[in-house]
Amino acid sequence: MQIIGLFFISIGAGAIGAILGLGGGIIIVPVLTLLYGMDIRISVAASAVSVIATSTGAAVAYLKERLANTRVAIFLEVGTTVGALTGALLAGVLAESILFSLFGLLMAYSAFLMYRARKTELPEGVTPDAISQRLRLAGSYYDQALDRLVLYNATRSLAGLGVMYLSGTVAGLLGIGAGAFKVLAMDQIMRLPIKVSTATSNFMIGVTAAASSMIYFTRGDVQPLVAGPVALGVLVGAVLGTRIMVRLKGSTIRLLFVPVLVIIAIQMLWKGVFS
Amino acid sequence: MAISGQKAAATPGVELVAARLLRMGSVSSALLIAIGLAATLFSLTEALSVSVITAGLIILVCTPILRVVGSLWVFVREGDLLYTLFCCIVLLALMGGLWMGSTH
Repeated sequence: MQIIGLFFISIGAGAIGAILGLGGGIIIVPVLTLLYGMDIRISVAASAVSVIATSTGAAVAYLKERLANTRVAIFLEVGTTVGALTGALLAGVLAESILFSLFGLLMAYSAFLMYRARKTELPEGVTPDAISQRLRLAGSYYDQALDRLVLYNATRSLAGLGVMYLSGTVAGLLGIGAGAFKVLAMDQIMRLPIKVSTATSNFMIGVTAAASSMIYFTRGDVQPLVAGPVALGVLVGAVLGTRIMVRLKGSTIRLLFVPVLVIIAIQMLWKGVFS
Repeated sequence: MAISGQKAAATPGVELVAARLLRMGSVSSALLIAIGLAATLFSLTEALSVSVITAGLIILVCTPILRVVGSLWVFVREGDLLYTLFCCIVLLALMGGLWMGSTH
């Protein structure tokens, strides 16, 4: 039956989302529209709710493991939420196909960067900048795969905030890629360990998805018999995903990220060229 | 200048509050959704079971907002002006987005 099928597919989406710091939307939306032939609005609404499910399900474990950095999250959420407002304001003003194509290329380039960095386990020689010291963004966690305590710092905080603002705007305009942007910004710009980046991204995406979800709810796009099994499956999958993620090495997570970035790039370029 | 990771990670307040709120939200929403779905699968009153699922979904959607509010409360209690400000900006931006969305 449809409900059961949705539930089990969503477990997979939730697990992948929890491991990589994404919301699972890149799986849920195509599955609902292509596999189940559902209306795009219902699919996007169910996906937004499922992003909250991934975020909430994974965050509990990542907070306990001290992988999700709440101060970094709240600091960067200032950027994403204000950016989402900008994105909503700009919707209809900018040519979305150009943006889709541009960011598709950006994602493809990021996939290349991530592939190049695939052997990197932990960042080295990271000097905290003044803002990260003032905001106490540094942290530590126990890495189960490496069997050691990892102390880390954050750098280029303002640049990170700026990219978060951009990512929020893009997510508000285009509707996909928010989680990937967050992980990339924290990993490449602020030079946090990859596991901290993915866990903190998971912690953050719930807030950005909550605003859009509430709007979809009021429009009646959230169908209980679609969003219900999807959200439940994603919750279960996210909890399972956290158990897997803490045992993975950072380099493995980087490698897993590459095909996901390629898929997002293809999805974006497709929309840019064909819409 | 030296590694300050250990000192910086010594504020359990926010993490604990956030974890508790998120766990309460996810568990209660999961229970409601599961009950509602099970009721639908066993062909019990459709309208009631759909309402139960919807209630679970509403709780799920509100959970991240509650997380920000809970964090705000912790920062106010700790007297952390900067992070209190950050939480307020986030909440205001969320409300602004809601208002914009509802006027379309």
